[in-house]
Amino acid sequence: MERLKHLIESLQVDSLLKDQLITELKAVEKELVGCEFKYSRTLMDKNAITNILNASITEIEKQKKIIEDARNKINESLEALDHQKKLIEIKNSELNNAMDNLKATQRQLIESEKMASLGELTAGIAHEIQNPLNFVNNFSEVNTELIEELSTEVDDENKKIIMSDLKQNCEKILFHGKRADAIVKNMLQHSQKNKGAKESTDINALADEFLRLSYHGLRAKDQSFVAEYKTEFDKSIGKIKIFPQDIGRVLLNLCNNAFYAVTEKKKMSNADYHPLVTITTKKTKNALNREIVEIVIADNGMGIPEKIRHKIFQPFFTTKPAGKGTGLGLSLSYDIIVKEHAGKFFAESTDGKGSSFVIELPVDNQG
Amino acid sequence: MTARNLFVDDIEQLKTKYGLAVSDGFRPSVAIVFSSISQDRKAIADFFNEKAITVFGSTTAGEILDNEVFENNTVVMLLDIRAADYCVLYREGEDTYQISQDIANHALDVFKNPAIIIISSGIAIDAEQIIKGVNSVDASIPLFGGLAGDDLTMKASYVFSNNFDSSNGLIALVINADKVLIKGLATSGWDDIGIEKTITSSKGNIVYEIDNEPAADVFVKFFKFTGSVDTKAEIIVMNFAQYPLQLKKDNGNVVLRAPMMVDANSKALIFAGSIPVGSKVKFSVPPGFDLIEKTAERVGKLKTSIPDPDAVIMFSCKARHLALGPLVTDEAEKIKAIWNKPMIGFFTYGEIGTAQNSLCDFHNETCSMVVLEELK
Repeated sequence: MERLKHLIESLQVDSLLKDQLITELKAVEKELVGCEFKYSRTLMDKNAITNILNASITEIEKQKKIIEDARNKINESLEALDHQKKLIEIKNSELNNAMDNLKATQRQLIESEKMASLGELTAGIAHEIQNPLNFVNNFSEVNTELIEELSTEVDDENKKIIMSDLKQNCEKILFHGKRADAIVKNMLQHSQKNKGAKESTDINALADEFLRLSYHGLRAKDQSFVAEYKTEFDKSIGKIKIFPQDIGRVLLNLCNNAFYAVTEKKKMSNADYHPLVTITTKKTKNALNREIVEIVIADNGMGIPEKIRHKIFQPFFTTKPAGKGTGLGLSLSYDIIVKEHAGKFFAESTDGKGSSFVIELPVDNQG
Repeated sequence: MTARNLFVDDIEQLKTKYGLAVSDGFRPSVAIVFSSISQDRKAIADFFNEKAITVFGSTTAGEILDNEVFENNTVVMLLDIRAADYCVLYREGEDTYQISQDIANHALDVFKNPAIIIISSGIAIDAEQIIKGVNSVDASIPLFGGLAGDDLTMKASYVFSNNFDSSNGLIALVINADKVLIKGLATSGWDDIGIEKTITSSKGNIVYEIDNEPAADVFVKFFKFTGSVDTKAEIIVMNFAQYPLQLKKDNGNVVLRAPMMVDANSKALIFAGSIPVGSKVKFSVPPGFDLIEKTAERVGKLKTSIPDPDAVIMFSCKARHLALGPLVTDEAEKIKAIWNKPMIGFFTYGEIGTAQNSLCDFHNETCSMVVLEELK
């Protein structure tokens, strides 16, 4: 610039032009300074803007990462919550099951309490009836003998006829007295405390024996009796400790009932119906995870009507016609299984299709 | 009202130029004096004392007179405003809010409808307290002004009058608005950039933490500034003041806040106006060089309300001077050309004025104009 100024001043031109040139030069100089400033200013701002934007990007990325981390954490929490929800659901259903079990147990407890008191009542009544019944039986026996003696002393035919009638009457009293005595003896078994120790018993053999006994017993009484039977035994059961006589009674009772049920159905059915009684044994575990032996006596008879199902274990409840059943079989069986053997005894039945009586005996008794 | 401008290098020049200015019988009552701290303010005040002319003075960070921009000089505007229509008030004290209230109360005692042109000295002052103080007395008082400069030494700035000189005070030219029409406008043009940040610790105009980081560290990080921030005040202003924080205030005003100083111990930044905790701020960058045209265009709108003023006063932020460099003269030229009337101004450390569609506020990076017309 300075060189240009000197150059202009040294020019051999008139001073007006010289001044003009100098003015122009100054304007150019000003422009130049402005441009230089603009350039450096722009550079400085560019740097600043770049720095601010870069720092902003870094910051945004940092925040983005924080947000992503937070999102991941939330997702993890959600998963954990889901997991916990599932656990809670499982626990819930377990609790519900436990509740159901508890209710069932409670029901059973109430039932067994009822049965126990009914059993005791029954035994008490039996005991009270037994003595007067003994008098009835003994004196009707004595009367029979006395009438026989008297008839040898009397010649009058009319009197003999009357005495014969009296004798027959006494015999009838004795017959029915003996029947009553048998019922009373049955009733008394409710109160009989068990005698002696349990014996290691082969459940399968026991079940087989009493099934056959029942079958052949019924055949002997009634020639028209027709039914099939089947056994499905779990050979792994081995021997368990029970009172074999008592369990035998239970099995016989249940088999008789089953055959009775199928026979009754047979009477009402056509030829397509095949009466069948099945005994199944199985070693398994109960709801409390304890080992048990399960004996199921199933028939394809008429089933037990829903409305009387809850009464079947009560003493004197029977569906058989008068004289055919005492109504004590199932109630005694119940006492034997539940009280003597700490087992479970219950029935499953479908109306018209048949019934299953289930005996559960704890394997703790295994010997 | 007549206004005459004098550019002076020293006291002798003032005497000569003053003599010429009054040679035609012009009788000024007020002298607006904007002077570099390097000038002899005392001598100037004494000179006007002799002439019984009221001085409304402030130190500067560069002076503006008509279409020219100076440094280390004095510029003077002589006004023959009627004695009954103005008064100059000054107060000194730490409590800016309270002395501002004082001035506003006094102004209301003198005039029914005063307008106040106010200048404050002090480098670390919270200038927002001036506006709050005046508004607490009467928010309808038109208020304009700026913060005195000290040639970027950031040591002490001054306001002065005939027998007053304070680095910790306020001076106000109070005008009877019923007799003198007065309008103003503050325009900035700075653009916000980058992400929003939150002021997490501050007290008045001292900002300790931005997004829980020491405030100075945030500026250093964002500008990749490698120099030491606690050595030289000028460096701070040069590097940081041009990239101020943009703050959206509760009252809806958008203002810029430029850092003035760094507290080396706490790494706090001292701004010219307060920034409350919780404020959302963004960095801002100087606009392109079309700023000059834009500013002139916006200021030109004032012409519709005062087409023929007697005098024009300009408070322009020092950061604008730095951002525009030699082009700042172009801005002065363009604004002067709007009315082509006597114009005086200086480069400030902050401006008080009203931005478009906004309430009166304290600003940085603005060109804050005041135009006066005495009613006949």
